[in-house]
Amino acid sequence: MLDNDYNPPSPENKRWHPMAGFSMLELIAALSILAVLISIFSATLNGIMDYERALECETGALVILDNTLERLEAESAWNSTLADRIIQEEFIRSTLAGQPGFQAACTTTGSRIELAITKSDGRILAHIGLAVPE
Amino acid sequence: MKRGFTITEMLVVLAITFSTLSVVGVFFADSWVGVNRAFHRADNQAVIPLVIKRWQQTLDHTSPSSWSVDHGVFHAGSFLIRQDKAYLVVATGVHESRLLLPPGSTCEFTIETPTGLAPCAVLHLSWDSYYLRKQRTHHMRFVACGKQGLR
Repeated sequence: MLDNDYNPPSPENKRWHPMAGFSMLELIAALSILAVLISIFSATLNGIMDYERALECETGALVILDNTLERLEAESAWNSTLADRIIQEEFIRSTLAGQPGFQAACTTTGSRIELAITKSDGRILAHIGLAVPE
Repeated sequence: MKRGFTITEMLVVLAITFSTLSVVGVFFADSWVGVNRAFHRADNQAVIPLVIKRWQQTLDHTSPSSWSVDHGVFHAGSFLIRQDKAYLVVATGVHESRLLLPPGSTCEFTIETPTGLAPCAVLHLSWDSYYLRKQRTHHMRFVACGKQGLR
């Protein structure tokens, strides 16, 4: 509805009047700034959460290897079969086993045994190399 | 002629304002709590190696035949290992040492005797975390097998 009492700002008097309210353009600008701030905050938050999750996975992988090593050291004699059995047992009992894409692997190259916790994309979370006892 | 807002329009505007503010408020509050807890959990990860070291070093001086668990207390030779509130307490008849555990965590002790393998003592550490009102339980197990010469 047209307001007969309303005087549009003239070039002589461009100052904002308390009763003038906000224009649609100002409102859209404010909302856009708010949306940008929320999206930046959300992205930062997701980054922190991803970092924390990655850190937790790496710690979990290191604990699996540490447990495996501790149990291997307790055996009077061990080989790659035993190392594989123990690392798989430890992996199954860890929280990483409940998350998709993680696996424990034991590979033998020459006289060395490599124990590793890897992701499905091939990235190694933690690994350790052991010399096979004679 | 100026037209003021009707009651209905005012109520609609107020409802939209309050719902928007509450949604944004909850989002920011949860995010803030989430970020804080993420940093705390990062601290927790730093404590874990210390817990492992203390657990394994203590049992290095004991024989598996002396291990037992009684009412949440792990007995290993002259050592008593238990959780006291936020601490992992390792006590002997002479002295007692305390290690601060991750906040909100609980300890449990078990003794495992896998077929054909050496027995091992396991310290289970669990704690809960919350993010956007979802609860997640974290669990880690730390194995100690004692010293080979004592087995």
